[in-house]
Amino acid sequence: MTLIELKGIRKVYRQGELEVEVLKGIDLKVERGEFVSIIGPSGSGKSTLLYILGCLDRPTQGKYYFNGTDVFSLKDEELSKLRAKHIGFVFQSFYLIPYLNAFDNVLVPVEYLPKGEKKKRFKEESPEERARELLKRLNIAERANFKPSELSGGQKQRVAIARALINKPELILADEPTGQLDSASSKAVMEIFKELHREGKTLIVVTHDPEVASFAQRVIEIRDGEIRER
Amino acid sequence: MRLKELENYFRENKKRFLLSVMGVAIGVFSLSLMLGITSLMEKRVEKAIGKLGALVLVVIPGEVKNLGGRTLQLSFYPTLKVKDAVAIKEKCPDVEAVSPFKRVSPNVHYGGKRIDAQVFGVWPDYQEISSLNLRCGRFLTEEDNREIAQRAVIGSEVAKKLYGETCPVGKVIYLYDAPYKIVGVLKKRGTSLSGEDLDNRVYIPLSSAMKRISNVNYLDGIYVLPVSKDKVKEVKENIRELLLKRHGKADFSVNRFEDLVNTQKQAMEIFSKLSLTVSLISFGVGALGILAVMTLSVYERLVEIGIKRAFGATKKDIALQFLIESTLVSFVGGTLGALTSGTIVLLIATLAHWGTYIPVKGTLTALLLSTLIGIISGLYPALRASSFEPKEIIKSS
Repeated sequence: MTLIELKGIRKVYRQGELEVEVLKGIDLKVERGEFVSIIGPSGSGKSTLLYILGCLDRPTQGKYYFNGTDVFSLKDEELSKLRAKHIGFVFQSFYLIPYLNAFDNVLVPVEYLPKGEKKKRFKEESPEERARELLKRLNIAERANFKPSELSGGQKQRVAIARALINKPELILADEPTGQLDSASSKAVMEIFKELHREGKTLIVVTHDPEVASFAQRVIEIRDGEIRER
Repeated sequence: MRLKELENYFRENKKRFLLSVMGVAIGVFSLSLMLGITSLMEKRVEKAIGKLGALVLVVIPGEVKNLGGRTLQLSFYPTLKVKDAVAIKEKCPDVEAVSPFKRVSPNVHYGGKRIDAQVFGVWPDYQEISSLNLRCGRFLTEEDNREIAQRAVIGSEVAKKLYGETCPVGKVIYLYDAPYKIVGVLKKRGTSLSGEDLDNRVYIPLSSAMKRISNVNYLDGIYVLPVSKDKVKEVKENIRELLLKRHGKADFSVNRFEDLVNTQKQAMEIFSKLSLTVSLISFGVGALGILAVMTLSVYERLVEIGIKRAFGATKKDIALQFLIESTLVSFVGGTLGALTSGTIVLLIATLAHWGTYIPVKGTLTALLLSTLIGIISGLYPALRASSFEPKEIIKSS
C-alpha cells in the first residue's frame, strides 16, 4: 500500500534576482513499511526534499499525497495535526529541549496529538508508561532523569528517537541522524532503525554517508535536484 | 504537562523569573496596600461616625476654614437659633432628620460621686442621625422636649461609673443640683476619631439644655440627615439658601460631618494618590519586565518552538504557551504582592485594635489587574513566537 506519493515536485528559491531550482520535478512513491534512504552530497536538495516529505515546507509546484490525502491543499493548522498524528522526526542536532529531562523530552509530542487521537493511541498504556518503555528499549532508562546537557551524543539521539516514536507515527523521518555521532553510536542508531523497520514502520533517512544509507532496503540518490534510484 | 514544563523552565532560570515577578509584585503590593489601608480607614471612620455619618450635614455658626489640613471654626457668632432648625425641618425637601445641639457643662454627679461627662441638649432625631442603640430604656422624645423635661439618656461609661453594672433606668442623675430622671442607657460606642470617649456623654432635651442650664438662645449647631447619599449635595445647597434668606448674610456654614471630624482625610487622600502612582509605575515596569524577559526567552527557545511545531504544535498552541507563561509569572508576582500587603494591613488592624480586617476587595482587584498585565505583556512575545516557521528554525540551527 502506498504511503507517500510525490508527483512533479519542484522547489525554487528566489535570492534577489537569482532563481535557484533546488528540486527539479521529483516523482517518488514510498510503500508502507519501506526503509528508504536518500543519499546525496550537500546542496543536492535532499534536505529540502525531506522538509517537504515532513510537511514542514511547501513546494513551488507539484503534488504530495500522504496516505491518499493531498497534503498541500491543507491549511497550516491541519498540516500541524497531520504531522502530530503521522510523522516522527529525528534530526542531526537532536533538538532536545534543554530544561527538560530525557523523560519529559520524550513526552513533548503527546500534547499536540488531537484529543480523540490521544485517547485512541494510549488506550492500553499511558503516555508516561510508553515513554518509560521506549527509553528502556533504547537502553537509556537509567538516564531518564538526566538533562540533555548531561547526556552523550548517542544518548541524546536515542532520546530523540524515543520522542519520535512516542505518538506511534506511521512514518519516521530522519535528517542526518548520525551526523554528530561517533561510528559506534552511529551503528547503534542505525540498528535501531533497522529494528523499527522489521516491526513494520516506514522510515526515510536522509544522509550523505553511503555506509549509513546501506542499512536501508532501498537507496535513492539525489543529485542536482533530480532523483536516481539505485 | 505544560505546568510541569513551565516549572522546569523557571527552575533553570530562577533569577530571570524573580526579576520578572518583582515589578508586578511591587505594583500589586502598593496597590493592594493602599486599597487595604484606605478601606480600613473608611471602616474605622464609619464605625466612629455611625453608619449614616457619611451623609450627615452640620450647620454651624461662623465661618469654617481649612488650614493645613485641619478644619477650624474661625469665628463664633451667636446667630444660629432653634427656629432655623425648625425651618430646615419644615421647608427643606429630602431631609430625613434634623437635630440641633447645644453643649452645656454642668457638674454631673450622683450619690456623692462627681464625674467629668459631656452634656448635650438634642432633639429626638439625634438618635437616628448618630445611629445610637439603646442598652435599656428609650431615647428622648418630642414630649420630653416640649415639656422641657428633666430627663436624660446616658452613655454606657457614665452608667458604669455612677451606677455599676445594673441598668439605672428610673434612677436620677444630677446636673448641677437638678435631678434628671434617667430614661435610657446607650450601648457602648467607643471613641470618636479625635479620641473623645463617646460613652462618657449625657443627652438631655434641647429645650432643657437651653432654658434650664445655659439660658441662652443660640445653638452650637444643627445636624441634618438627608434621605439618601445622592441628595446630600442638593440638601446642603437648599439649607444654605434657606438660611441665607433668613439671616441675610453668610454667618454660618454647612459642612459634611465627615469632613469636620475626619481630619486625616486629606492626608489619606494624598497617601492614596501617592500609592496609586507608585503602583501604576511599578505595574508599568512589571509589564515591561515581563515583555522583555518573555521576548528574550522566545529567541532563546527557538529550537523548542521549532521542534514543537514539527511535532504538530499549531501556531495557536505556541502562542498560548507563551501567553500562559507570562500570565502565570504575573499572577505569581501578584499573589506575592497581595499576600505581603494583606499581611501588613491585617497586622495594622490588629495592632491598632481595629478588629481583624482582611482586605478582600483590594487583594482581588490587584490579582485581577496582575493577571491582565500578564496577558497584555505576553501578547507580543506570544505572537512573535508563533510567527516562526519550523523549517526556518530547524534548518538554520
